[in-house]
Amino acid sequence: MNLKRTMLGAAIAAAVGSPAAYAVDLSQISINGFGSVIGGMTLDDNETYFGNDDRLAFQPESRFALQIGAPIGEKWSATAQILARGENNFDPAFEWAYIGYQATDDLKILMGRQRFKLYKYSDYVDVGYAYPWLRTPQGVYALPFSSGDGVSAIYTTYSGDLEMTFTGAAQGITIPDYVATGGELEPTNLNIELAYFTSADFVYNELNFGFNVAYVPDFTLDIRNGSADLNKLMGVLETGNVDLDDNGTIDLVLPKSDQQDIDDVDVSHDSTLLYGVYFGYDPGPFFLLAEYTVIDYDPSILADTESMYVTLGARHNLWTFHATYGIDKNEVSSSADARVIPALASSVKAAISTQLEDSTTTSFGVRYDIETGIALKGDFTLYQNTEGPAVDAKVVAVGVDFVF
Amino acid sequence: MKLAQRLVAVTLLSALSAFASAEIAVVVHPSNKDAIDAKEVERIFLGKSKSFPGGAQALPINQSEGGAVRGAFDSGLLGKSASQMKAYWSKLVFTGKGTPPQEVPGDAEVKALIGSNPSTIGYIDAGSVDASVKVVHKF
Repeated sequence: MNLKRTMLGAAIAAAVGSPAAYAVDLSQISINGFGSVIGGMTLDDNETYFGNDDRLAFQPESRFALQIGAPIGEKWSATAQILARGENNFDPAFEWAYIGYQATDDLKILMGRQRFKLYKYSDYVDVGYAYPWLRTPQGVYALPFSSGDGVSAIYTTYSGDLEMTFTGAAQGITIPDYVATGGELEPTNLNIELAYFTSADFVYNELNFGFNVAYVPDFTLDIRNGSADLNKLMGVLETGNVDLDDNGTIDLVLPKSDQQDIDDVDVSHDSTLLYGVYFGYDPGPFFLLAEYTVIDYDPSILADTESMYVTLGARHNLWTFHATYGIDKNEVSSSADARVIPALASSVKAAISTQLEDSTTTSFGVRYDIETGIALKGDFTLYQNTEGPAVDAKVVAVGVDFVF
Repeated sequence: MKLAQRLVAVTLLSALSAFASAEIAVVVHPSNKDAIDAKEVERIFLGKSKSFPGGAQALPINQSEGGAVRGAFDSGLLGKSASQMKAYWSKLVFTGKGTPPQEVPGDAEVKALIGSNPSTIGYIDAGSVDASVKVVHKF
């Protein structure tokens, strides 16, 4: 009995003692979050713009994220960030999930899931509170993929008044239900094999500037699964067999196309080069920012894109007023339509032209910092397009951004 | 009459700004022999530098958001509003690039922490300075 009691006592002591010994020290865990509640609508009934139509809705651009981080010993840390987007019915997904290693004071290594750092704002494009706009300029920042799995290194140093941050990353990702911007593809599989990202960011007193280069050596977008029309076209290019009325019998047999021409329509094991440069001047009462970006694809149905914007803003107490002018130009990357047999030329031309765009975007916005951590924003955007499927739109939106 | 109103307004403004900008002292442990200028303080508090000029580790201690001393430090030395500082840190926190300094409620807590840890650096109202800390910069 005594022995039993002692054992019981020891078990209780162990049970009571163990939380202190093994559980995480709660004061070391950081919980942060951010979000944006944005209501937007277009002003005419035939206009759409990034999920907004002529009925006021809060779902398309709203989002909410929670981040939890904890140090592990002196140099390591673990961080997870879960983001729920209105456009995805607030289905939460891990945007970041990584272990960090502070190798030296200047060098940090992150391993795991991270946002792609493509352009100036790419890796925090959802943190509305961190920038003046209600939404980042969409020509540059509306990319439907955001995170990848891999390793990155961040090196920060300074020389005199020049502060420098260099990042390098190798990341890849497979997205089973990727929705391409522009074009008419249904959600389909996108696979990005390990791709390489570098960026250099500089701050020199009131100036900030930098550039980014990313090379994607091998990516595949399953366009056959994403579009019945493209599936049919690819079939004709590859086999020459034409089934005009979709009844399963071949009505016409054309010459097979050259493999090169097929490759120049398909998005299979293609490479891409993305680069950008930005320049900002921010003495405080006003600020100026300009960014220019390019995406250069292997020839395929995906259009090469060239985007730029200039933002001019002024701050007065808790108010920030800004105006942005952007130009976006998407041009065909492929010339396969000129080489395939004449009977297929128009179909191929249509396929490689679905992402064409030649647009200007003019925005006026205001931010009011109602409380530290909470900003109210309003925006009016005029989008005008002269090429490709996107329609002109006038969009108004109001929102509240917060961080904690 | 208009001129008189203007004068009153200007006097009021300068009185207010004088009140808002009570002198702030940047303080370290008395054993810290480093010469630390405003630029160095800024780098340490913005997470851009993690060590003192002499090479020893530097741990910045912030005062709580919303306090007068914190406000004077943010606007006076860092040249940023409270919202701009929040935006600055949210950019770093949510991209894995940094974590903001530890925060304590007031001058007394800053002095207590600095007294117990030679690696720390903080700022307090110049009127709170005593022998437990060493002033490296005042503004």
